Amino acid sequence: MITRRTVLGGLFGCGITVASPKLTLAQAATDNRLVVIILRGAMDSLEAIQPYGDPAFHALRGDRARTPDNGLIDLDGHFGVREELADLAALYRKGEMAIVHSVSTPYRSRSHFEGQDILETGGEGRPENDGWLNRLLTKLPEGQATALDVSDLPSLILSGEAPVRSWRPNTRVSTVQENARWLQALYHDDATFSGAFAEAMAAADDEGGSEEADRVRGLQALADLAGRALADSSRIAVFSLPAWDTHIGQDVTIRAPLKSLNVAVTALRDRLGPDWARTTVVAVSEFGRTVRLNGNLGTDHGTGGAMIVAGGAIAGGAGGKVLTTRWPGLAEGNLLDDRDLMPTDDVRRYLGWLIRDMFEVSPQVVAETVFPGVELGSPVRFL
Amino acid sequence: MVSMPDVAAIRFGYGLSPGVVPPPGAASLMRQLADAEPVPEALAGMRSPERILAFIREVQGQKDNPEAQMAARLKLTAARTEEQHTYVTAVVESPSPFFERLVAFWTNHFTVSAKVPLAGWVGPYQVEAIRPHVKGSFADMLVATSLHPIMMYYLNQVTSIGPNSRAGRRTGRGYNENLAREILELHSLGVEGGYNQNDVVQLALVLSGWTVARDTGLARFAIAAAEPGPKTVLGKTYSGPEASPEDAETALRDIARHPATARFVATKLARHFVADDPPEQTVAALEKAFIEHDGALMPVYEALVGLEEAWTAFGSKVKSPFDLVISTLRALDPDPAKLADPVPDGPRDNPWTVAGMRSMLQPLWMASQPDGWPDTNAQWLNGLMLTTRLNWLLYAAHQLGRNRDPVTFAKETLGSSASDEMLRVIATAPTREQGIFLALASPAFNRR
Repeated sequence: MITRRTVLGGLFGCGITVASPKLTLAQAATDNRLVVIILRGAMDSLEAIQPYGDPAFHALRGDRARTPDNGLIDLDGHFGVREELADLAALYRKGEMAIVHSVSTPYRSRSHFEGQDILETGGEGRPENDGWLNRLLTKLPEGQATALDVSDLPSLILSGEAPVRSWRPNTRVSTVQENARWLQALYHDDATFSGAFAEAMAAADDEGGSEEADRVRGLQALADLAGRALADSSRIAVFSLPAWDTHIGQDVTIRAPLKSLNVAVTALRDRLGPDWARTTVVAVSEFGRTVRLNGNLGTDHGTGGAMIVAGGAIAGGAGGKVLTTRWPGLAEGNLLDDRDLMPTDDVRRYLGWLIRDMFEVSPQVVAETVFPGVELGSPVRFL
Repeated sequence: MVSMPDVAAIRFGYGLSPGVVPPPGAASLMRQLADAEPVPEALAGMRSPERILAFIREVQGQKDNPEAQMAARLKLTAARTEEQHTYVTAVVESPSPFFERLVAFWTNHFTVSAKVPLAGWVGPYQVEAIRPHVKGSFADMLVATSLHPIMMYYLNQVTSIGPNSRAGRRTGRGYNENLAREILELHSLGVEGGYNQNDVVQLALVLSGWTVARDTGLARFAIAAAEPGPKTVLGKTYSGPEASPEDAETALRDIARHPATARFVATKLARHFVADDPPEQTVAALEKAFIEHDGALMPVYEALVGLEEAWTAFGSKVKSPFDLVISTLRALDPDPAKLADPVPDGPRDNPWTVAGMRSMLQPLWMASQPDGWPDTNAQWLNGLMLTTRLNWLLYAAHQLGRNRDPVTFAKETLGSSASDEMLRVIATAPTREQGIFLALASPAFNRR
């Protein structure tokens, strides 16, 4: 048995908080890495990954629906991705990216907080007390997998009895401008406040550009850090991307978060180098959004959505495919509650089979411990 | 309609706090006031003479040793920073928020400011000259503040000499009318109160001789610097051929009893507790109580909480940054250790408290003018002020509020002042932290 000392100080500097003592690692039978990116705010899967081959899609989204003729990057003749995800599309062509579409957690009430709790705890009807990734850690051989939580506060998905390292990036999650829509609603009935706010926004408009650049830099640093930890001794990393709640002007407001996702995955790949071949990145969101646009050219909370999977590990497996248990179609009558993309499978099932492949955990352990209550059904091969 | 306990807590106090039962109405509000400890234990150690002496000896006294002088300055600044943080924590935690609000009101009325280095000891000044009299008499407070060493430094009284006094004749120096003017203009009659320039000069001459002793840091009447002969202020004459230490106090008590003082004080209280432009009947009611009780303040507060408009005009006042910081911290209820001065031996201000107020352009104890901080909505609510406020609230929500349910928080923090529409908006926030931020950014939380 070969032991390796963990290297902390030189890697992370003074931002790190070590929640566990130094670990000695056995050289693992598998050196696979998993990154989970939580897309907070409910990503519109139909905007990010457009089913342009579905005739009902254009009927419902009108000129907001794109095709390969006007900027959409084709994946498989039926689905395409927006150009903000160009690097992910390139990975798809190399067989290193996959989409799992029309999935959701068992949750049906469309509240962000509850939805995220259920996503992170892998719960059935209600959130569990600990995160599913932490439950996974308790089932891995000691020393095989150490996890890094890149977040200012402990992420629920990694909370639990297994020790986890954390790195606190100390960035502000949102800015005044990102909250503008809600502030305008709050101030609607108060003339003094709405007047002052309009003044404030007018002044802030001049400073918009530098905020974008700062955000991209911050993200690259975040993903870079996770990547370096994974290249060293960590095997699981988690971080979040915000700003997916596109209730207004979705065509425009989704650009920034899509770019963040694109930047994050690319930065991870660049940092991981040869270890990219053993890595899977999974981006999940609490639920999808309504199929029809609302009166503000945005969408509201929905149900069925997509999971994005990327990494060298899936080449030759799920890579280069859009997986769906059954594409429900978007014609009237096929929508959930006449508004949402119908989920045709449990996203935990796909996550479960991914974990089984990545960490050689038995399906029984997945169904009993990691995602209690999940129906795993027939195997899905990721690797 | 906002319930009485919520108005009592939010308008008269510093907001609702989890686990703290608000006073149900006027009577319990007055009881809370009666029971209030004028000087909370945390502040009892603040003493001005030591600070003054330290400044005189170690800063002024070491002019030829700039390094030692700088070190002494930094040490004194650090001590003041600590006092600022202690004060803010004491207000956040106070069981008598109505009393603390009145303390803050009077401290602003009788402003001293760190803009003048030696006048920066606002904490000790407040403990010595304001707190003991908030529940007492206006006249006592006027005398205590006018002749307090910190005030005398702030408004240049220490260099004011009667021109015909022994010291005046010897040095050729004269009086400084700053303190006399501000007493009349800002502290008692008010600018429309009916005094004239002659009254200002005469009052300055009455006050001459009062200074700060450099060996004790205490107020001292130096007869050699006092202007001899009678002086007439607002029609009343003080002092015989020789000046006497009682003259200033006698004159100040007469000024306190002047009818214009009652009106001026009543207007300021009405502006603070009811509306920027208070109704005449409100001012008249407080004025009447002031006059009837010869400037005793408890009956005036009693009259205030007895006014219907004080309870129904809820939301008419926008919270100042100070109000906002205190009420935010009361609502978020953080571990007290988080509110302390974070760097023990350096002048670093806590972003949740002192630095927060500065970022919102109301630096604690550093009013730029002797008239103190404005008490009108227009001053605190415009594009720039709202931006600074929202940025601080984003910070507070990020640091202190991330794992709470926003709707529950909004209901607990705002009680009956939270509208259904507001709760609906908060419930749609994409993250809990943003939901908390929205609750704090709401008009309901920013008004009282």
